[in-house]
Amino acid sequence: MMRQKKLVYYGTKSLIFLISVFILSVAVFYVARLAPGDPLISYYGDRTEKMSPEEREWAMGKLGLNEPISVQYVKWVKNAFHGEFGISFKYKQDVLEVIGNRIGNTLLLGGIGFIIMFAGALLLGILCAWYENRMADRILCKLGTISSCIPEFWMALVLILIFSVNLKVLPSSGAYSTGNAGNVGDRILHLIMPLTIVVLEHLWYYAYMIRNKILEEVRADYVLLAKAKGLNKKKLMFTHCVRNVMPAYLSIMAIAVPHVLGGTYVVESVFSYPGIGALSYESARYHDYNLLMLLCMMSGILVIFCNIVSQTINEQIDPRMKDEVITEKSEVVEG
Amino acid sequence: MSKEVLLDVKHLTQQFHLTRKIKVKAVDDVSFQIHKGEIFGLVGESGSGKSTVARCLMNIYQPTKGEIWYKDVNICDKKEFKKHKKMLQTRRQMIFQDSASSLNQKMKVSDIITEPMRIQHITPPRGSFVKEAAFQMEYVGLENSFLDRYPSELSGGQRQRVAIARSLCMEPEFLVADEPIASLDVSIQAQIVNLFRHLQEDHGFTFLFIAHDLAMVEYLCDRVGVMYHGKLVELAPAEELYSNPVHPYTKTLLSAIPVPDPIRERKRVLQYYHGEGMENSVWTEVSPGHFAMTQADRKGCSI
Amino acid sequence: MEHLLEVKNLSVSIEGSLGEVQAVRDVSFSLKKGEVLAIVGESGCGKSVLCKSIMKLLPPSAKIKEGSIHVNGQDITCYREKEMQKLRGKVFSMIFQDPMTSLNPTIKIGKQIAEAVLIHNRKYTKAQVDQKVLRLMELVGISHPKERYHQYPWQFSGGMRQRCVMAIALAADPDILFADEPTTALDVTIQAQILDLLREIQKKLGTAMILVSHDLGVVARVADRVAVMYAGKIVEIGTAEEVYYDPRHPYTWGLMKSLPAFANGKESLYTIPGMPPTLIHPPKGDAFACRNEYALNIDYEEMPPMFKITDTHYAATWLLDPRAPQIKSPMGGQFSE
Repeated sequence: MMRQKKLVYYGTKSLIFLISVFILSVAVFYVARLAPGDPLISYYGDRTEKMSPEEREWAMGKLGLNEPISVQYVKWVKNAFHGEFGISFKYKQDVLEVIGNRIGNTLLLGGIGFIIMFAGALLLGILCAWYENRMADRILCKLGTISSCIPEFWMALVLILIFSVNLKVLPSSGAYSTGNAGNVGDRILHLIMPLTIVVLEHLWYYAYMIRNKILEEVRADYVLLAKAKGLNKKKLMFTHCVRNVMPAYLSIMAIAVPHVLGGTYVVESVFSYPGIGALSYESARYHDYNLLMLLCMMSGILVIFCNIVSQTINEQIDPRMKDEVITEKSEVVEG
Repeated sequence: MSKEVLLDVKHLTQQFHLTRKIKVKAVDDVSFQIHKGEIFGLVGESGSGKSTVARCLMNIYQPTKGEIWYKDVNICDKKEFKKHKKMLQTRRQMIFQDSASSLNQKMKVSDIITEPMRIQHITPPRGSFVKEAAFQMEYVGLENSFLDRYPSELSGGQRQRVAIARSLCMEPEFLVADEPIASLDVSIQAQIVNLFRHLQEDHGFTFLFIAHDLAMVEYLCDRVGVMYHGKLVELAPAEELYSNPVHPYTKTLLSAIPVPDPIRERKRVLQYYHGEGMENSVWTEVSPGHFAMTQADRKGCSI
Repeated sequence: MEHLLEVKNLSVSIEGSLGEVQAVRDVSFSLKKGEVLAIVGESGCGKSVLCKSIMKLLPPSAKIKEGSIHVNGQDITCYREKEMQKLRGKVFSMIFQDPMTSLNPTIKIGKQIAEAVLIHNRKYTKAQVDQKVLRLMELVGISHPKERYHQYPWQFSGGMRQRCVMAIALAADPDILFADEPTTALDVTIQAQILDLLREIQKKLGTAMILVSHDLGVVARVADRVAVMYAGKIVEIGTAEEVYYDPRHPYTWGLMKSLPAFANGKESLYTIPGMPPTLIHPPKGDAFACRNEYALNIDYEEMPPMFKITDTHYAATWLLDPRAPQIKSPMGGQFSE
């Protein structure tokens, strides 16, 4: 009985996921083709301008672009099910290969940034809540507000100016120096500045959220009872307040994945960091349909997936979702 | 007291879904009448369905089953309700238990009091909205200096007076008060109850007073209904109910009224009722005007 | 007999946005072992603040201005948070008004009680702790403690939660139990049950109790002694019999008369006219003077001292001064001095 219910529960969630992905794919497919511009430029470059109408026709046919959009879409879906997503017009390579070369860089930047940011936000939030309205809390709050008001591209440029141009201690762009792809130290050096921006940009937002959530808990009546029974502040903070905040924090983390991802994309283009973000930007600009489609689908699936995860976490937290109901009668008998 | 029926509740049932499968009958086949110009008390523990009844009467909930007749309008019928909406929404007013949350914290007292008039586009009979608010404030015993204050600056009793003034400015004929005194100090409770009584005598409106204990109800109400687990278990004129309670739950409630007398209070024996014999009880008239759920095989006699 | 708790001339102020609120003004009382003292007064009279200031549970904006608190002969007035933590739970413990919010919603009931047990008995093994928790749950009348141990607060009704709160408060066998309106948020039928339970446990364990309430009726059932508070001061204190059968302060008269039990079919319930004063700038004389129909001129000028009526019964009203006019108590035909 219980298992069946769980099955139905996760079944519905998966169905919602699939439907969302389908709608997303249709939307991206159509919108990309409706955008003005010539897709041939990305494949043939400057030659496109000199093409005769017949040559154009032939080229379009070769790339599969002269059929109605709906037919193109069906073809794309069919191939996609076989794991073929077509070639990139610009790189003239299988899109999977193009993305495969870069995705590691983005995951490294985004993943490490994500972990550092949420760990840092939790620590900062607890710190501020602990010293509520005292010096440390006030200073941190002010600094945080300032840091989150600075646009990330501008902060990135300032960092480049200071550390790369003036001090010359950190590289200004790329993921590694030429020929040093396997050098860990070199990779880390290249990661420092982009990571700093990714982390700083969202850190305070979440730290402040944690701070206020904890303070809400601190004001709750049960804290007074816990105090009255002789619990010390440290235990009270960690075994009661922080513990109660954690489930909500997890669901926020899930929702924040796309948020951080977006930030990574901007940072990647500022630092010319060879990742998915920069690639997405290029593919949209050059009408590299196959590449754009796959990139959008990947980000989109991630966003939808994270939303569903956070929703599931929330539902699991809410006790009313559980199937135990105490009837009034049993309460009265015992009460 | 006139016997004209203002409100007729027939077999009212209200179900809530806890989850998709589990349903809870908050109100289970409740029927009663409220006569014009009387103060009707509805008493029961939390979760007994008394607030749900009140909300059904005010069209806040749509009942699952049953009819509610207000004069000759069936207010459960959506079409009829729409047709008489303006009359119903101005003639009936409600006061809630928690005045701290039922008054908008960001509005001034004077705006709170006259808001219903603005919504219903009624021109204030006393010239301006401010004058109207001042008049109602004075009427419920608040000084004019409170007009420009915010609810958070008032005490619980004062806030409850503001809530009363707000309902009065529509000149209602039917007033529902859902535990209006439960969150107040005893000494303030007395003030509010006195105010209700005074208003009722002045205006002659009909009044449904909901409470969870019988102490104040005895003093204020003409007739009292006792609810237990969604069912009305006893209905009688107040004096009759206190002198001759029939249902065991009513007796339990009566035995729970604290007596301000240490020696008697320490000796007082508590009664308990856990819903024994609820299943095979029937609604019977024990004596004229006194109804109760009694067990079918022992009709009429008290347990 | 040694006093368990002795409060002398205690004044507590709370810094607010409008100014300093003198929530407790010059309060003195004492509590013997195993005794139940009820503190009765309207909301805002400082009764809650008084209890919390003894346990030092008030926010940092509240400060003890004057006076001293002695527990078991020890002066704890200047104790800091670290020292207070050792006393809380062990020497005194507290039950709060709203059982719906005073338990942590995400932790199982059993664990919350176990935590309280562990704080003061660090050397207990897990089995010992569990045993003690089950014993406590039985003590406060929670049936099926083994199954209930693993349930969350939301699975309990209001009355049951208040029992859990009591189990937590009693976990380390405190000498004094503060109960801050423990029954106000409960249904009437449950109210009496909880009060009886409090009384029973208090007798069984010999715990002294301070019961705070706004309702003289509720308190009559359990109190040995009653203190009536008004505007931050204790205006009358005595044994329950003395305060109920021979009240001397006009405010106590007013509180009594406003109970519906005293209405006896009269046209309207008695109410005390006017409002309690704000405690930011409390009036110079007797704070109750402007609401008191028996007020004398001196009431507006000078604060009345505590007049002794019997060894246990004191009241702060000028009516008890030998020079004052003889006024008949409206409560039962007894004469004031």
